[in-house]
Amino acid sequence: MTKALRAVLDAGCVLLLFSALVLRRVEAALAAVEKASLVAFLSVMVLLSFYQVVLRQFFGTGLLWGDTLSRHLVLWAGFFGAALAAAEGKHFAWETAAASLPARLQSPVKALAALCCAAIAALLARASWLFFLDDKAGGNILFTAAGVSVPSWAYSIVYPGGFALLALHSLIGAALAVADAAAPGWTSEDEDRGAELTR
Amino acid sequence: MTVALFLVLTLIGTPLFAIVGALALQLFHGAGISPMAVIVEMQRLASLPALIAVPLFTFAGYMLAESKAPHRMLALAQALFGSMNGGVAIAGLAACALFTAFTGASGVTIVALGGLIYPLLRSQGYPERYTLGLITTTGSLGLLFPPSLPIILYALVGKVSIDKLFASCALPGLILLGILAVYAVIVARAHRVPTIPFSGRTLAAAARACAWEIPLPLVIIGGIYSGSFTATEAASIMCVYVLVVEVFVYRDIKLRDLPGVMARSQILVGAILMMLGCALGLTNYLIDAEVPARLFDLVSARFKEPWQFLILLNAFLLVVNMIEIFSAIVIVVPIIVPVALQYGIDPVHLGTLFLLNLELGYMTPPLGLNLFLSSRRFDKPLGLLYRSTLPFWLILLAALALVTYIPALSLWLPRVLNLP
Repeated sequence: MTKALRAVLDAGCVLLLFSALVLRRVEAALAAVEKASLVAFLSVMVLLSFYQVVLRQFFGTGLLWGDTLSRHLVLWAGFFGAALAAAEGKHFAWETAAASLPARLQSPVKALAALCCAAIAALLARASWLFFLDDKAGGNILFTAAGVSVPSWAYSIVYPGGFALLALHSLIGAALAVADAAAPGWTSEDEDRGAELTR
Repeated sequence: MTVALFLVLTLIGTPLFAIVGALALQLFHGAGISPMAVIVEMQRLASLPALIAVPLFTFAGYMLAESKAPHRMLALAQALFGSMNGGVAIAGLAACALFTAFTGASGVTIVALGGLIYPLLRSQGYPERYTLGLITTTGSLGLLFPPSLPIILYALVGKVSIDKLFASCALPGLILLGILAVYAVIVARAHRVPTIPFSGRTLAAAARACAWEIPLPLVIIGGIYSGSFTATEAASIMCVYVLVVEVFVYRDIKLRDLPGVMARSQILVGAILMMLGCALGLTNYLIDAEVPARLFDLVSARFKEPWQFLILLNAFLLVVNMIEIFSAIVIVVPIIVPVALQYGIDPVHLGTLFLLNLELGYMTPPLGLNLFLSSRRFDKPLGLLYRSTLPFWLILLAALALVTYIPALSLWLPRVLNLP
């Protein structure tokens, strides 16, 4: 009886660790895409805003839609940055109390915090989805450049999308913390998970 | 019940943006308003014209931090001030102030420059406690100089002009730097720290080494104060300039490492924006519920005079900032500004004392962030850091008192520069 139970537990443990490894891979792939998009957005922001400065300082003119686009790109880049911050555990949090817990409690508490974060991010994603639908129904135009009108919803899709990514990363973080609690040190080779993601 | 739940969430280390977002959702839900309202408030971010300055300055700061600019800057400062009594300590102060201002005051100074300055000062004969105290303090010194990120964030949230706030913070920042320099001279005299003989050749070599970086503060700070360009334009110019200099001239940052630097800088920006976005929802609800007005009634019933309110505010901010500076700004500013306005306090003066107050909070025991950073960086017990920073803490407290009760210190420069 106990033998069978132990075998089941062992199998469960192996499965958990295996899925943790798979999750790590999935998260790394996701982070690579997020990082690439973020780099693209930031590059456009840097070039576009500098072009605007040159136009304004030397020619006294500017692109009408340039500032609008830049400002909205800040939020796009911001959401991808925030998703990566969730993957790397870099969001501002009050960590003093959790860090002073005994070592064996730290992973479970970390998992709980990440789970709460995922749940709240999911609620925010839902709120954002309502906002997005409303925005789309409103049919607003963000700006018109070279005869092409960019609808407002093409931008506001970032809210539900961004919060969904945040929720996903937090959920993965929670799962990895659970795996870490089950087999300490096995899945996390360094203390800040995914510090290698942006290296 | 709800309060207890949010307290537990905070204690277990749930990210603050999520806690603030949940609080906003909960309050809007309680008032029968669609959760969409939280996002509508967040959307206001995209209409702030100066928002773009945040990612650009942060990116530029990260590039500087990852280049060898700190080494070059410190060598130059040492060549300049080393021959004075206390000169090496003053060089450290100046280098840290500049570095903090240009890297957004996010705690990187202690990590990046502390490792250079600690051995330097110790080898010169400065006592350990003084050295630790100085480095812990300098982690946030420079927060009052442009283009510091906390100033930009305060201006965005508190609805004051960034350029005006840059100008109002400058004089208090310089005064603080001056007092700390005097303290350095006193310590150097007391411990008979030798001076380094002045060498024109060393100075020339150090200046040549950072020939490309010297114009940067002049262009950025000069450009902002002279009104030739706005803070947003300064951010853009600095970003391109630093990119060209560090990647193509000095080649401190390899082109293939650039995406990593970009991503790391935007992780900080993302964390700030999430905090800011969620806080907008929360604070907007609180303002609609007339919380600032009620707060004013409550406080003004006991404390009639503005100076009494300011003392209360000073103490409150010291406690609040022990949490985290950016979060403190985005949550507290929208609530406090209306209250302070009713007391007749100038919004620019308020911003200046608020930021200096936060700077002090960085090193206030038991939870100030700089204390932890130093403790981790130099592997010293927290108790030693509490004792080491005490003289610096008292100096900053005195400076805070000056700035709080002499509004002219903050308001003189913006008036002289005639900023809009």
